[in-house]
Amino acid sequence: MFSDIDYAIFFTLIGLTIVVSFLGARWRKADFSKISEWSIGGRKFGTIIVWFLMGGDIYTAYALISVPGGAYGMGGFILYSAVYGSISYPFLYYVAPRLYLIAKRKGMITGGDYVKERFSSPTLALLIAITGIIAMLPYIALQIVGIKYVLVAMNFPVIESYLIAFLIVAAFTIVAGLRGPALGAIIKDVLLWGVIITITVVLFIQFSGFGTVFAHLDAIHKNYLIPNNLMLGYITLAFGNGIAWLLFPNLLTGIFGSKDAKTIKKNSVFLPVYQVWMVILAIIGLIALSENLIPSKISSLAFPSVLNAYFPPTFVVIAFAAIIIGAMIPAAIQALSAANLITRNIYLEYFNRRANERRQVLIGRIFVFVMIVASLIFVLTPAASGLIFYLLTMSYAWLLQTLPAIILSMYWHKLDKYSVGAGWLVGVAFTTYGLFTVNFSSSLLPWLSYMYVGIAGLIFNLIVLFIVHAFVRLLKVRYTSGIMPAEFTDFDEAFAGVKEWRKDDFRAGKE
Amino acid sequence: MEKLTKGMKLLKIFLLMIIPWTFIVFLAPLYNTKEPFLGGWPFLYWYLFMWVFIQPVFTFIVFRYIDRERW
Repeated sequence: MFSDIDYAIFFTLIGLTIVVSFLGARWRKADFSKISEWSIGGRKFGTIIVWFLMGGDIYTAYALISVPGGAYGMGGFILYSAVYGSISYPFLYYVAPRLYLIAKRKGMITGGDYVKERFSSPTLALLIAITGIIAMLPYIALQIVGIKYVLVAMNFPVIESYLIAFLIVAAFTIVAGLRGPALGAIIKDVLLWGVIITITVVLFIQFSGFGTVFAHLDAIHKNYLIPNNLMLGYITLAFGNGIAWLLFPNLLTGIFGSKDAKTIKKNSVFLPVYQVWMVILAIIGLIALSENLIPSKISSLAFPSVLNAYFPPTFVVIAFAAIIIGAMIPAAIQALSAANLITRNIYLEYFNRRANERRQVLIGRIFVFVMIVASLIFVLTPAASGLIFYLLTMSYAWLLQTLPAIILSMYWHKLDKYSVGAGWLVGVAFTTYGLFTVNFSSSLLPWLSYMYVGIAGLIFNLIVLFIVHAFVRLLKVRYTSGIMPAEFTDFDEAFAGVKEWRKDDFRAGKE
Repeated sequence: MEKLTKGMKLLKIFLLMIIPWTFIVFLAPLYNTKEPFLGGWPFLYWYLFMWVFIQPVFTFIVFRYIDRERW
């Protein structure tokens, strides 16, 4: 069904993005032997670049493959994805400036750095870093699986193709650091905006404003509302993901890479416009259901099958290329953030305190590969061959357990490391246990009224945290913090006059 | 150091957390209905679609009038 020319366009688009990303390394000359330069681009990104960077991170194979797939499989339940996006930005607005400003002041580039300083505890920092790293795995897996389904829709030999795609991603991540993906993300966003707007307009006209989709679903008795038995699951999933979203290590990297706190605030005002896609993509998934477009009933093929049914092959391959680029770039950013965490908070802290910058960069490059390979574990879970949006919710479930350490600790100055550590342990243990009870096929617990495992874990986490904290205070256990309460601020101006952030602060081994 | 009054702080929490959490998330059992349709869209879908645009307005109000930042 696709001509040779179509295939040529497909590969050219993907190839071009990679080439441009390689060239991106030369853009705004920087010294890449410095780890801080390599990993957060020297904090020089302005509003537009951060917008693309964050957008490129958020709208991925998750949005394009798993959301329509979720609508096909679970109807209105998938709207949780639009909902959590809508609440996550205002939450970001509230907490991120504070986190960014303290990080800038103290020269931190990971969440673990902050935790180490805030609780004067390298151990707690290690736990937080490990949580971040583990949470990245299902997310990277989601991108790999997304690429797989696109290639399946194009009749490619699957395994070979996506392995090659990911070796390329890893290679260019290493060469370019953040700069490469940032430039690539611009291509990706332009391409994806073009594709999504075209698809929306065409299908909107075809189905008279989508009204006929719902009418037809009613006629064939298919549900497009949130199933009533999953209501608690829907609420806890949307809420849990909304507040855990910014805890993603790659998002924290994006936040720390901003120019100033105002940039973050501005972004959180207008980035939510992207959420429109989630509702539209859910409806596109419903079209596959209402028109019965997937003979194999594989939900993740919903979006590719709608494209195939209503668009000419040349357009379809452009869209497919956009989806693959849209999976490749964030996967690179994610792997990079994880490698960054491993280098800063594990390797430097526990294995080689005196490592020079050159060595740190090398370790970072090695771990980019390790992360991509490790994510293959999650490619094998039942969720990856079923409703793949659940993979992302597993990431959030673990990340939620770091909420007290990273967010709560910015407002609750008396919070101590013992209670946060104990809460973390219980929360992570419960979350992991919960996921085992459903065999990693979903993240809702049937034995808890389908409550989201991450929220259930957070509840236990907080209960333990409060109990241990009461004991810590009662027994007058001593604990310290490397950050004074007065050092926290939500405004850039409060920062004026304070020593500007200097590159020297990042020198290896300097505490 | 503190730039906002208590009232302003509270308003900020309302506009950025309490309101979106309540109307977009916790009221799900109430908005999970087909009626009334709008342009063929069930209530569930157009209600959430609307909030994609309403919340940024609230966030902007915080940006401009509470935090007093310039665009």
